[in-house]
Amino acid sequence: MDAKDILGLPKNPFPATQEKKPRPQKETQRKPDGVHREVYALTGGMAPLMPTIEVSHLKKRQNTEKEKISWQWLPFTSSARTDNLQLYHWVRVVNGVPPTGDYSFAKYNKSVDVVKYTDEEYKKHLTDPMWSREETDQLFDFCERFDLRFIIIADRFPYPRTVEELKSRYYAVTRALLLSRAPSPGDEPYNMTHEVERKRALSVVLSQTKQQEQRDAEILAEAKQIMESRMASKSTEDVELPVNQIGNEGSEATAHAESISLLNTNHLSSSTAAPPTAECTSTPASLRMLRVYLRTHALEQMVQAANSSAGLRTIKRVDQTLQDLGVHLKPKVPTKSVCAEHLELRKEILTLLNLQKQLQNREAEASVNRDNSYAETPSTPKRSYRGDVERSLVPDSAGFGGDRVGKRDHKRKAPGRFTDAPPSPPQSKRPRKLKSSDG
Amino acid sequence: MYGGDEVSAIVLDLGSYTCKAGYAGEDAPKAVFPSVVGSIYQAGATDEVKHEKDSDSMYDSENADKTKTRKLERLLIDPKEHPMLLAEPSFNTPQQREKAAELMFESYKVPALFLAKNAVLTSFASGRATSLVVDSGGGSTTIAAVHDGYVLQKAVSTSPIGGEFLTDCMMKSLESKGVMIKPRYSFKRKEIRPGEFQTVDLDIPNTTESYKLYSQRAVASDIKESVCRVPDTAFEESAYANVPMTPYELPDGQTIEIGADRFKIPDVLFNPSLVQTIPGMESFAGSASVSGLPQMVIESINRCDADIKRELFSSILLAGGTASMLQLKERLEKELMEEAPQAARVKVLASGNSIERRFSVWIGGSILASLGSFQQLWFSKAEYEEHGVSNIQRKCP
Repeated sequence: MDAKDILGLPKNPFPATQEKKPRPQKETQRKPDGVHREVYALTGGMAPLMPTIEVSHLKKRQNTEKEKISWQWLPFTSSARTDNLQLYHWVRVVNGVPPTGDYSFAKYNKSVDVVKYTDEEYKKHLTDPMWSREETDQLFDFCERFDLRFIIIADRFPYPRTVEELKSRYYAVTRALLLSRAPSPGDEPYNMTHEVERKRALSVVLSQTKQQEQRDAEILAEAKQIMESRMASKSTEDVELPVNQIGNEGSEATAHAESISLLNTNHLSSSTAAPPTAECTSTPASLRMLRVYLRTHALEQMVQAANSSAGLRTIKRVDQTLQDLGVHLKPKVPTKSVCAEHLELRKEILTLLNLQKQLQNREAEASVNRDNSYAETPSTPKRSYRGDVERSLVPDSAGFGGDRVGKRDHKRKAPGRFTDAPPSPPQSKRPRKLKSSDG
Repeated sequence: MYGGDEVSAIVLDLGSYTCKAGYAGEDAPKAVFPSVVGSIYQAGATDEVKHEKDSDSMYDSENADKTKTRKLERLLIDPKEHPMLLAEPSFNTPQQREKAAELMFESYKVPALFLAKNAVLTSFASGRATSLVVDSGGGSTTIAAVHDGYVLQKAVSTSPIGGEFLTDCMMKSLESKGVMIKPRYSFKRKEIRPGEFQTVDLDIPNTTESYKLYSQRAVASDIKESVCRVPDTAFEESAYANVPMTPYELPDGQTIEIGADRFKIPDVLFNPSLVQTIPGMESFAGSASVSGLPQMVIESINRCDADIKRELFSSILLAGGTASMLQLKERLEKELMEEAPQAARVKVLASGNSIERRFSVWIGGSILASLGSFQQLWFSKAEYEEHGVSNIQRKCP
């Protein structure tokens, strides 16, 4: 606004030029004289609500105060000092009377109370084979000087001692003294070994070079991968194979624990996870322990591989679909071609179910949008969206055979729109092509 | 000021390159002058220039005495009235401290004295009680860890590579390229036409070699300060062979072009073995044992207790005149992040103002001496007389 005013440009592109002239005049009239426009703009362009400083006040009020205040350069002493050094500083003197009392900063002179022991007490309670009397005395002297800052005490201690040793000795002595003087147990004693161990671990972490850290990160990532793949193969195997009744988490957990310990030797992906299953002693399938596999085992592995991305509920629905179609969950005669076809069928069913789920989602969104559209103005994006929905739904519908329409209705939640769409041959050809590309 | 109470203390920082002096409570020293002493031999009227490189000589010889006297005269004060805060190097030995205390009490009769280590003062100047101070000054570079306001003496390391050393490198490098640096006093520029100058050589007899060297160094250090930059990665001859040259006009009018040296010379801080490649400096004996800045920092931190390492890594302070070199902070941070463990977060801090970086020790002293709660820590004359000079070790940790 202001910049345009300065440049003389019109403020609004639309209003007439007649508005321009009275407006700048009004602006300048409102600004008080003697105040720069920018300074005035700092306050938001408005006058302050309360008077801040009135010039008349500044001129009038001279020496109407009752007290006479002056500043003097006077000496002072502080109770925090042991000698009587006199330094000088500026002091606010009221009516010729300097302030009394101690130096105001003396109250900040706080120090730590370090217990002191007599010779008797030392001989009775505090002797230690690792510490001589002189060292202990020095330690306590340092503790007092440096206010129990053990890192600095360790740095300056004349004898070579670690921080933990110093702390341990100090706490042990203090504890013994306090116990001997007033028998109350107090807090947990200082655990030196724990501290040493902790510090050692910390220094190892902090002194690892970049290469070591990278290697560690790599190894951890591998371990995670292997664990995940093992989990996938474990969970689906236990669900699928009707032979074993075990599906308890406990066996899986122990299996995983073993897998972690064996991770350095195993770099296999899930589809070829045959050997690890042999190492899992917790699964009671005796066949497996002898490394004997049913012919269907390989099939099952591939089924699990295909299902691993699907989730438990979808797998169940696939099985349900198979059963409704009259297909056995496991083919009766597991020859190679039969198994291949079975797998193919399973995949197609999976695709079907995924598409159905997407369809449901889209329909739900579309119906929501339809409800909303009554309130809003129709605009092109909405229309195109619905167009997308319709277009995507057409290929879904066309691919299904007649006998499956009923099932579809049963599965979908929203009311279908496709019961009227006849599966014409050209449409049905297109999805077949899609599916052959899947297979 | 809330915690402040001025007692008009004086803060003295006798550095290896410049001495700084001023009143406590101010934000910059009033008197800054080079730590050189000229002595006139009585035999002939010649001037000798001695540079106080070694901290021993700071307190030992009469030269130090002269420096101090000069400083106090410049400030126009009477030392009897003002308590003194002296900044001392972080690796000062107890004997040197006692000598300094004796000097101050006997010769100057100060009412109270305190000796503070440079690293602690720098740390206070940035408002921290714990930090790792990298003080890159004129004569040397010192790295010291400060914890809770005390220097950890086992973690102090020094390197002789400082600003003066880099200036020498610059001089030798220019000499080898055939550039003659004329000291300032040896010529005069006359204006023959408006805007055009002509250089007239003056011949001043009886100038000593040391003074000539000193003047040449002054020019070279100006070149170094204006032109040099720390390279972003380690310096290699081949990489920087084609870098564009920067012109620089010497005081006598001739313009010189500086190319790869702009980056090579500051990189000596990080890679001291580069010195061997500068013609004329091969005789530098200590380059084998001296390590670069990042290695020294990591070594210093590793000597400290594991509990404070992380805190030290995240508060590394840069101080000193040489720390004002462009891009030093970024390069140091980058190198440290590569070398340091990932668990530690590396942060190098330097105040943006170059005045503050140069005088950070002095500023820390100014802050300390003007605090109300510091007034109980002075080592007074009465205590000196009663307990002797060795009490200074207790009072000034």
